[in-house]
Amino acid sequence: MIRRILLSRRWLLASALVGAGALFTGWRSVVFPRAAHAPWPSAYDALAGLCAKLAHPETVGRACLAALPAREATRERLAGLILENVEPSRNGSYSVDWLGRKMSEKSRADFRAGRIVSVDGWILSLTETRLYALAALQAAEG
Amino acid sequence: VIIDARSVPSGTVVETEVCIVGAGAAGITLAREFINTPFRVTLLESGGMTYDQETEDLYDGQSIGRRYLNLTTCRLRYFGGTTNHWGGWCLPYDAIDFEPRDDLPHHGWPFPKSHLDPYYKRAQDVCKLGPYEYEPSSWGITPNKVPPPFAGPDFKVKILQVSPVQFGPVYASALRSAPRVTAYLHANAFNFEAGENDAEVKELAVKTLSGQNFTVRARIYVVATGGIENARLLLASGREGGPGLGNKHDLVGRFFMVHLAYSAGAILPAHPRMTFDFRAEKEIEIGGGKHSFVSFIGLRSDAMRRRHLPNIMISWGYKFSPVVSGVNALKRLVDGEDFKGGFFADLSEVVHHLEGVGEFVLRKELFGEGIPIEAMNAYCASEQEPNPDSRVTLGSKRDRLGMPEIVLDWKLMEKDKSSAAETLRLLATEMGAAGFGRFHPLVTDDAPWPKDFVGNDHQMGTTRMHGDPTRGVVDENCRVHAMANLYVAGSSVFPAGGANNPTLTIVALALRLADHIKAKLA
Repeated sequence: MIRRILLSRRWLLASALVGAGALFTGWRSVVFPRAAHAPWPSAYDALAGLCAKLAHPETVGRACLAALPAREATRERLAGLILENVEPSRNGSYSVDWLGRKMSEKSRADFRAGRIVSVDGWILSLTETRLYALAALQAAEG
Repeated sequence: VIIDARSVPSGTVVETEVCIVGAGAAGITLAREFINTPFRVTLLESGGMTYDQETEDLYDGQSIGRRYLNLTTCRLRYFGGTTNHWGGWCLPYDAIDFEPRDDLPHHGWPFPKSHLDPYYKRAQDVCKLGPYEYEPSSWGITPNKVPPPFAGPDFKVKILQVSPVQFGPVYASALRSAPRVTAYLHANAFNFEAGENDAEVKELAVKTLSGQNFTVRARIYVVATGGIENARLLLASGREGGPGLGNKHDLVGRFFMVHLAYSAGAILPAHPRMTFDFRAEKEIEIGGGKHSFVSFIGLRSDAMRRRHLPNIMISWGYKFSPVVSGVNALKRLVDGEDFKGGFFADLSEVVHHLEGVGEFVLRKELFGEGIPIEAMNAYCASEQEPNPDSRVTLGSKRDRLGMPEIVLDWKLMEKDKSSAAETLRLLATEMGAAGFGRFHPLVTDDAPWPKDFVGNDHQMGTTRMHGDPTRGVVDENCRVHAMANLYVAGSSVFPAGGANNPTLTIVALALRLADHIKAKLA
């Protein structure tokens, strides 16, 4: 049985601010297993950096993980889905800031398209839910 | 003239043109309209000029359906009625509230809102409100202040005005000095005698708790005792053992509805320092006077039609950052006030939140920003779908006067909750899409209503208005079908309850009814 985890408002605040790229000023290089269809590998590094910056991945992220289908619950799969349809950077630079902005845009697009997930009652976009789920896996696996 | 009915000898027959039962917002509004006419008006009020427990207990009854408010405290039974403890919130019903809707069975009034607009304008004066103007921009909430989630295709900012009028204290003196209006206090309408055919009221039996019985004979009778008591009086009147007056089609007491009030959930703003000017509660100079208003969030009419949703009012309270205590302490220190724990306690509070207070002062000076908001707690009042199974009937128990007490069987439809859940899900989606923040709705399809869910004290529908006697108790003029001289005033005639506060509509309908009765008597 999936353990339900209550999310605090502060953690969700961090989630809501995923798009505020200014928050994400640095990143830790963690190399993900590459998804076959990902054209720009360095985006994965930015994604790892972004995940590392998210607050409380072990609680919020686990709640998000529990809200997603089990088939998505691998780092490779989640990373691929998160970066899917994200336009490559024009200058080839994939910073955490840049990715934060992209995630914000994608989240808004999710809401507009009704791609939403209820995570312990909070209505989140599919993208931010996956992002937090990925952060949980990343934190657990190191 | 205002007299105490306890001083009226038993057996007295009061002759009058118009007899109004109940001195609440509807009854007092009606009576005032006759002050400068040649017609004699008798206004009967069960209570006195102030609260009295013995009289209030006459409201007692049994609730057998969904748990409802205490029947003896959710209404007030003395001169001025429930306006003696109301919040004064006034706004007209929305045009969509009047419309028949295929997606909401039994919804709709016999006329559109435009028909009621002239009376709404007059009702503004009765309630001492500002101009008949409900566009937020007229109250300083210009479109540039409204963030995208509330300026999109589904939601909008709406405003209500706040009435300072308690009908009893404010209008007692005008009625007291009106020579042809006689208000009887402590006078309880007990039974309308309508003869064998139940086609016309012949007289009204009146009782006092001190044992007096007298009779009122009028050309026109108006029942204005509130959303539950109107049905009770009709059901208890007429032939002994009969179905009650106006109840040939078993409609009196049915369609009992209220506004559904509940905590809607927590909103987490994306930017704690965002401006919330569009959600205001303040007094402004408008229409040549100072008037108060409150803004809230509502669904757009086309969104309700498109998404098959009933009406709703959404509002919220703020949970400020803890720095608020430091800022307040700083203000007290600056103003030289000795409040709370004194100077040193305030100083300690400022020091404790020094960083936050410093940032607040800086941002206030530079950008005019307020105290950061951590979250908002949203709450709603939503429309209940008209439901014939939700009803008021008479029980076997009788009150001190011998009148049967009511049995309230308040029922909701499954759609009442699913519609609320869908609306809140939509709100969460719009907030997310606009980057406004995230929302944790408390009403969902698979969970019960929130713990604080309550049917509020806006009782409506029990003598609903419809042009067809098989579908309504009163006609479009508020006359009881098949009764020549019996009318109903108040929210019991509302065939659909919307989500807006009902008093302005009650007053507008009373003004309209007064015009109708005057024309009829003339």
